[in-house]
Amino acid sequence: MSETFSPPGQSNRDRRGNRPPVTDNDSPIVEAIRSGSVRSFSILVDRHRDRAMTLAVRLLGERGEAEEVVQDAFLRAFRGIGGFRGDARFSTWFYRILYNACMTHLRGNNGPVQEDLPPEEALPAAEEPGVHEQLETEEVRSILMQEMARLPAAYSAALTLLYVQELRYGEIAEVLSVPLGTVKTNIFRGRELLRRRVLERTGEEVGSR
Amino acid sequence: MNDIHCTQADLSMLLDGVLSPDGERAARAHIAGCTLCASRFRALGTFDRALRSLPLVSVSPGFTASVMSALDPVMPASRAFRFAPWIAFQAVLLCVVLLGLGVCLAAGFITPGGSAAVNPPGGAHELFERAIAACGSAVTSWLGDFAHAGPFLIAFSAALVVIMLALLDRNYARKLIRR
Repeated sequence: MSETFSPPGQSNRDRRGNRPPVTDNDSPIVEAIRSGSVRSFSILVDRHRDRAMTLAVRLLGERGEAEEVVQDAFLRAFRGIGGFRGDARFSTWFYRILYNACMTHLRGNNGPVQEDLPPEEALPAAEEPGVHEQLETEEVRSILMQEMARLPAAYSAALTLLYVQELRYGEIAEVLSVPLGTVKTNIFRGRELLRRRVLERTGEEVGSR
Repeated sequence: MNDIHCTQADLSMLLDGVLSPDGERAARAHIAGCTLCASRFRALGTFDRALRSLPLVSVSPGFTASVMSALDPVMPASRAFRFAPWIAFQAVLLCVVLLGLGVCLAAGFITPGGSAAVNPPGGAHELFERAIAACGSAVTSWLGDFAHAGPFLIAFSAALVVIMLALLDRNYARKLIRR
């Protein structure tokens, strides 16, 4: 492989603060693993570990538990890679394993797997524009991360798969095993709820209600 | 300008590129002429960029090494079953040739020394009858005299083994051999 990978623990951003790009080209590595090249699996781990960790932390909340679940998901993926048919991207298949592992972990801890989602009327009305300029400051970014952690799991999972894993709506539906319409709804409502909470905390008025 | 403004859901789906082509065209046309919807769409875009720019959560140092050391070295991931059509085709072809050769040998159409067939069959019906009889005699001669039919049957069995191996994934075959 000609690609280089950052060593474990190294920052997941380049000098300009950009995330490493999501690659769609896992197929040759998957084939190599299936042909017996166990070491090739480390390339997949390196590629997906931080995004997987981000999803797990957002769903489970606790870093130590999240890392254990991510490791377990990678091991399950390795053992089950013979059953991966290649109809979908490896990432879609893997994040489904991870998502199910997180849900199983939450159920084991009696966590909030089925949360009450906010009712429709609790969602924000469209605010007047011009209140988003602060969003790119570090302080507001920190608030955004805190509020993301407070979102119901259904919204958080859909938004994380959209923004972190960079999956398409159809792929998110596959990972979460829900209809496409549910994905659309959860992404819209989750994003709006998050936006409202962040704007409220940053002291902005949510106008035109 | 159209007085009906875009809903926030429409703007959200437009942002994510999941509106139908017609819906997207209509929404973009409306936004182009509506300052309120255009501002809302820009605001949504800013929020979208902020979400995309959130940092990832890094795993602990040594995470990859830890995963790799936990992998079972005896069980490399492999498909348990993979059909190899080209190898299977060659094996089937070999089977047919060997079977035909065996039938011809047993029926006396050809002799091992390379001499011409003795008493060739007169027609298709006779050929069929003699071929059936030859199959029977091949089995009985193998049972009675291994030296004549044995090599043919051994080769035939070997071809069958090749077919079976062709049906198996090479990793699975390797695993079987290791055991």
